[in-house]
Amino acid sequence: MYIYLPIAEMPVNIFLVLSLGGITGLLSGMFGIGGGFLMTPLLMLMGIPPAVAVSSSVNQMIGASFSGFLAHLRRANVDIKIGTIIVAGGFVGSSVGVWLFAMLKKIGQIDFAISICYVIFLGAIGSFMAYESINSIISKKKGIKKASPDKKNWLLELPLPFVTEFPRSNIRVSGILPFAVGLVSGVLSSIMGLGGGFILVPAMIYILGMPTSVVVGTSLFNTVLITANVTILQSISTHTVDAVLAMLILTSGVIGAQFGTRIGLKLPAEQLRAMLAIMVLAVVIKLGLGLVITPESPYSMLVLEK
Amino acid sequence: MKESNITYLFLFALLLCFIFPSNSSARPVIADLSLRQIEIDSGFTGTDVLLFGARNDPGDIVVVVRGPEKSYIVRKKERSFGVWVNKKQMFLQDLNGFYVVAANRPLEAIQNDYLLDSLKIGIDSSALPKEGEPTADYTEFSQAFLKKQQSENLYLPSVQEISMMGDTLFRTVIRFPENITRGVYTAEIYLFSDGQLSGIQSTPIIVSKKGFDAVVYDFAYKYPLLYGIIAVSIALLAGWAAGQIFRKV
Repeated sequence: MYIYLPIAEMPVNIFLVLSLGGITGLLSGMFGIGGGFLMTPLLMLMGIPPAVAVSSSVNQMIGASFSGFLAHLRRANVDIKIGTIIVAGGFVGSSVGVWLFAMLKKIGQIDFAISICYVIFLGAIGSFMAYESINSIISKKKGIKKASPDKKNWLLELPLPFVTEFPRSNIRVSGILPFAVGLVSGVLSSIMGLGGGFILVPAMIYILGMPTSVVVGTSLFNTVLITANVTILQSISTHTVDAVLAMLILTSGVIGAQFGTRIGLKLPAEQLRAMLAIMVLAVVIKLGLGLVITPESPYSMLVLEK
Repeated sequence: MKESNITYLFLFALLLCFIFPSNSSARPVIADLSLRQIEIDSGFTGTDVLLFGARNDPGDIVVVVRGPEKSYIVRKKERSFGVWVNKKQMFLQDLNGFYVVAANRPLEAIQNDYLLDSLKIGIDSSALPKEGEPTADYTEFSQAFLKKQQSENLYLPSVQEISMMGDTLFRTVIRFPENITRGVYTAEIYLFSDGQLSGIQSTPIIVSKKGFDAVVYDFAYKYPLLYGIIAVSIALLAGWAAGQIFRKV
């Protein structure tokens, strides 16, 4: 069965779109990521124009992450205080990112920039997470009880002002750090068309030293607000938000996210991180090969709106 | 005027042509379409339009259906430092988004390539620049454009068949694929005799959106801020609703 997408201006197989949403939603709930780094490339593979794919998957991420966020909120797994500071940084960062995106698009380098960003940032994060989680799985098996070694990272040692107590996370850091984390993830997530969880989750664990239990909920809190902001910005500036497409992937996505959240709560944190690392690295390899392998056609085309 | 009225008028005109075959005031070529308005709705998977007509003078019939003109940027990737990056680019101005040619004989039979080029008839002349001769670069990039359009069935590489019924009547079927865009298309019917243009008719085909999709599309362009806010609200609502449903399960 086919359904016509009004903004993408093309028909799509409704079952294909629904299963795409369901699977991404499941992963999104499990790992506290928006799922955009899977959703956006998959939508493009279906033939949806890249700009529409980016904006619409950002739109659906609002719902998927809101659903996950509420589930975590009920279990009090959200640090609203530090989350608010991260979101503030995220708003500034995503505005800068949207501007950068427009500039790169104008000079025809946006696709390259997206791929390079994926390879560099996801590659680094994925490798580090894989290394770290495998280590902790091994030491857990050997019965070695290690105090989290990452608590002593040099960023936390910096003599920064505005040192604040965050009781929910049980940490004491300068407010500048979460703001900077939000800023960087905001820039990168708007260039890459993502919710930002893929940077936030590891940044909160390894840079801010937050406990894993609150990281996913707090990341979802940020994702809801940043994706809402980007959806409205894209609606105004590029008219590329296909609400029908977003609602289709959202319907199955929220259901998937509910299951994902349940699975995520049952799995040990190291295993969760190891699985996320494998997925991230798979996407990195796919995109990295795309940069290196001779393309089928070296030409690409853009229709200029009148 | 209603569609059916036009058809009746046309049939009446056809009848007149048969009664007075050598009437010098009759138009050299006359044609009509089974559909002048294509509406794209949720179930749209493309449509066939029947074009039929009559010629009152001997000659070759050529039909060209063109989509709205748009401008394109075509970019070419080159390898540098081991990765593929966009390097050269070309701006292609005012090219048809959709292009199909049909003829009762191969176009070469008309034996006037200059005329065909200037009328932009034939796949090779469809992407010629508006003015002047194409440069080598232009040709390279316009070929890439043609290839892309062909891969999406928006341009047809071969000349489609026009079948003749007797000496005067002709018909052909034009396929509009599911990915056509909105706008005013034109169906041009040419009559060539002895390498010269002896008759022409041009009929618009309006491709528009219909129903829920059209409402969504227009709303997104007319009230973008409100559209964005609604898109956000629905997403939040859906997320909340799913949470409520699953909480009780």
